[in-house]
Amino acid sequence: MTTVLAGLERLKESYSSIVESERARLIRFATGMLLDIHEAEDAAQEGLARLYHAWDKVENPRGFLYRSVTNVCLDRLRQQKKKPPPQVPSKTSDSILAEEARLAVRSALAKLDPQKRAALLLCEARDFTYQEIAFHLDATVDQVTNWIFRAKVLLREILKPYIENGDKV
Amino acid sequence: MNCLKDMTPLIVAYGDDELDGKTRRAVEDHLENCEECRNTYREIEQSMELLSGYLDNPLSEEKSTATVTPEIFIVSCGTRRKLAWAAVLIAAITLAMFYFPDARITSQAHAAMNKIATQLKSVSNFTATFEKSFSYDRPRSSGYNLIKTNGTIVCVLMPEPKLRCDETWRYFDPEGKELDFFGKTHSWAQSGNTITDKIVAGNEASQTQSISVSTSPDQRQIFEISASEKILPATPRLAAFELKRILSSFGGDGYGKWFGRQWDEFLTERDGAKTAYTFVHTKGDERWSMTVRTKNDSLHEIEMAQHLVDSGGGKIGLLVSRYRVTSVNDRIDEKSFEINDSIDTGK
Repeated sequence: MTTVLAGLERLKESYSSIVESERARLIRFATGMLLDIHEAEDAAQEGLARLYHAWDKVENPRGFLYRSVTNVCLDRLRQQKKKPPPQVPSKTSDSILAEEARLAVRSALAKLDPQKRAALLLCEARDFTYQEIAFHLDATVDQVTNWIFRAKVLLREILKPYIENGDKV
Repeated sequence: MNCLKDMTPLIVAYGDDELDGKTRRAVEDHLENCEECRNTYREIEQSMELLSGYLDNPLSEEKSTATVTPEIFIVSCGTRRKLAWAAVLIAAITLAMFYFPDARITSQAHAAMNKIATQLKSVSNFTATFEKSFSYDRPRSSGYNLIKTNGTIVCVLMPEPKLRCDETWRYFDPEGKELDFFGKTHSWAQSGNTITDKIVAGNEASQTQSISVSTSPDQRQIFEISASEKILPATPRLAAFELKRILSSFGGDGYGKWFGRQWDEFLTERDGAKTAYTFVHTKGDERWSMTVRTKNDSLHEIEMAQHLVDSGGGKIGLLVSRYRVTSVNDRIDEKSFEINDSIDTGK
């Protein structure tokens, strides 16, 4: 039944409509994973290319897409050499606060291991349910619940100074 | 009961709408009566807002603001295509210089090399900024040399036997925006008289070429070049890039603007082609031509040629490259790439 429904759902969608609707969100997700917008664009592009190749065999294109991009990101994180933290350019005091908050978010994300980071971002950047995230990450729902809980608690601790300041990124 | 320890996992799941109705109501009741947990909930939600803000506006990348300098002008000169061409030229010059004593190079060959060197120098004024990282198995200092040919000093890559090089390049336009479609990774390795050169443009394209140099019995240098290029199937980004490059690059946005040249345009029919556009630039003794042929609705061929002439205007050499682009259903589906470059300097 699931297969039939997925097939019907798929008929409504074309590759280009998925690209159109998901590309920005994919990049957003990959940015959080890789902490580099250019790397993120590449990862998103690679995921889209994988979907294109596998289009005829895929029952759940969006699921496949996010699973692919997640895997691309995890692969890249494994290969990635450590980069020095970006320097904050000198700006006005307001923008310095915003830039510092961004830097703090980046630093917090960097402290999460890849699985927790992926779970958090699939939840926050794409609003996937815990069950869907478990599918994408080959994990159980309990594991995902735990990862997201730990990730959010860590982010809250690191970002507390900016929350108290009421800074908006 | 340790309120925070027990409640925080539930508060997180509540915020993600992952609780069943009964548990959800229980958490809501608790939040109403517990200020500490309310604060936790608020802080988690606000930290997620900060995360969301970061994802929308990630930190700008640190960029090198160095201007292209002569020693790297070869790979700074333009599009991936240009990069490939420059790589061919530089490898050819290098091999010729490296392997063949001056005495064996004819005066025409010297003139041709000077001409090529001049062409390459002419693009060194381009002011893109770049980031680069290197990985060599020998010191970088051994990779470059200044060579004097007929009074012209040219900076060329001097590969050592078995030297390997992996370079990553990122380019930015004067406004600081990254130029996405330039060759991002360039690596080559030399073994004997053959250089294997690989250029990867992000995850969208890769090109491999092998250049072998030998000497004919009449002391002419023969460059055998084989190349293959792979482009991933169409995505909107790639399709847009290809269309822009094919249709516009010969006008104001691409090579034309790059070299500040005006191109004369001709519409002709030949070789059974449905249409053929030829763009020719002639200035002094410098001549470039590009021909775009549409074989049918889905097959396009682009030929680029650099005509090398001596100071008297006589033709002494020709460099020709051809693209074949196939499009299916308005998307670029497959692309084959063929380089038929030849440096004919022996006449």
